Amino acid sequence: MNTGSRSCAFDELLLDYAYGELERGAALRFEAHLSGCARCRDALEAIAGTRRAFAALTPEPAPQAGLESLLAYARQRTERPKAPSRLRWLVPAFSAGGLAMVLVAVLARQGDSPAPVMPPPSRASDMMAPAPPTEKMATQSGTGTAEKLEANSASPTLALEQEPAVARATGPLHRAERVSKEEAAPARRGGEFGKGLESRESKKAETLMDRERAAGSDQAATGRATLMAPAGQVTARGASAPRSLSPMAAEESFGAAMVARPQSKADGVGQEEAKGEASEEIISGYHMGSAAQPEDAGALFLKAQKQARTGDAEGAVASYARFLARHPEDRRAPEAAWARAGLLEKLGRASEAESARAELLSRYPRSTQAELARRRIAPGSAGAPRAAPAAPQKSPASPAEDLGEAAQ
Amino acid sequence: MLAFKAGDARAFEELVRRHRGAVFNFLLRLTGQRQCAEDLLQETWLKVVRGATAWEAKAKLTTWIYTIARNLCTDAMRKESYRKAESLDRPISGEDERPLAEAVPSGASLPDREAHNVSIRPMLERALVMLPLEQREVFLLREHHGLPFKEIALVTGASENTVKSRMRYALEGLRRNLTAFGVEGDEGRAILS
Repeated sequence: MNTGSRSCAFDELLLDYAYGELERGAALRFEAHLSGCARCRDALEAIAGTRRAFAALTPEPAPQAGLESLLAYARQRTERPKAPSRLRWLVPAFSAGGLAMVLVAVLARQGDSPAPVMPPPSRASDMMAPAPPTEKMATQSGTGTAEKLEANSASPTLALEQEPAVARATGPLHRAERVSKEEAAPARRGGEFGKGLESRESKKAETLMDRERAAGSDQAATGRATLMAPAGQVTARGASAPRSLSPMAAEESFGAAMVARPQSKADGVGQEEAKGEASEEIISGYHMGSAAQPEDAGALFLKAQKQARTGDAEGAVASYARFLARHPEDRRAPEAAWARAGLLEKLGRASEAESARAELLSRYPRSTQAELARRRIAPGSAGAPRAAPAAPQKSPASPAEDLGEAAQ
Repeated sequence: MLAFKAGDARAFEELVRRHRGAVFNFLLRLTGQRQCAEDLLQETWLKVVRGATAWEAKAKLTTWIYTIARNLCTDAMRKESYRKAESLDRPISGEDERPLAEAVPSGASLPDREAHNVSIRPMLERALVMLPLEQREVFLLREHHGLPFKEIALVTGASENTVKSRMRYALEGLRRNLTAFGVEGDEGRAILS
């Protein structure tokens, strides 16, 4: 019996036993001790009495105030989009970019009236956030940003910009207006307009090219050929770009121009329009670069035209043949085939000319040139295809027509 | 909690439904001030919402919530002079503005146990609020919220032995306080039995 003792070896277990935290074996041992230890029994009874007393302190209901706002806050937290923090900067960047493009589109629409002087297309890309501090950075980031814009084309803001009339009027229209005022220098300008211009623009371009022809401006013609090059090979950015821009650098610059042209991704037409925005310096730069790559479709086509114009019929025939061999899907192919047939006939190579026309009919039966060839070939001729259908799809007879009709 | 972390807002509502009352009572008894307890309750659950993404299942949820509530309460009581509430001259609840000494029942016999509990409640609250905070929190977590001593040690940041020591002191102190209020002898037996 430990009654009256000041301490007990089991004191440490009192609380654990009272609150049921002792393991079964330890609890049994403690209960065995209790039978002989009055002090522990009293201590245990004191704890139990206090616990019974405080059992009267029943819980109070929690206040309803603040509950709804708390739950609303929790819902808000769960509904919040979880964008990676590293990409958060893209949101304002795209917003600013979209705003810039809408602004350019609106200004371009206003540009239908002859008077306004538009900022150069490069400004549009300059308005993008974050703004590229240097030309180099602009060219480096241009293509990537254009891809991002394309990826975001489904957004309401950009969808607005995809409206064809507005979109296509964005850059080239302004450019057409500007260049038409500067026709006094056709050798520098060349036919800068892409083949996807609106009809009004294409008429201007046609006029311009007619003047070029009259002036016999090779450089202007080459400039146009540059613009006829496949997408991505023509630069369209920056008046301060170096003249000796390589085709690769020009391609990067083209990407920068694409940033400010949301519609240019839609189809090849838009890309051609982007080329139409090319500044003369860049064109010159590419011009120099492209001279080393005559196999480019536009350059090759123009080279053939130039040879034909300067009396080098043999060379023109060869160039057209090479053009057709390398770029059979180019939309100028029917015209090249037709021109080649004419040159062959001019050279007295009638059979080859007839074969050329037959090939034209065979490969491009729905083109305007095929219709012309059909009229030239006598009925029953060996080269004439059987009952080739009339061409519902016109193919331009000349580059000028080509430029004018493509956008329609 | 895991469901809430995954974006299920209803899971949080269930969480609140289960634990909000208990947390409120813990804060109410700990602070002894209803308004302060309500403020701390809201603050606690806001912290739970904000911290949900960081919570890991290896920690027991109630332990985590009580830790938040306890820390907020400790900070609040350090900043403010909530300890003034420990004065016997200040009522613990708005319903009974009488000083605790007047609320102590006289020697007259009591009609029934429930009525007796209602009358003794202010004394219990006062006896509780008179305890030092570290003893009070341990007593409340063990006696009213059923946390084992081991978990209480996690909540308070003290060792388990320290927690048990505080618990012993708390029980002794409560009994002493009740005796001081005149709840002793046969009357005290009646109250405590």
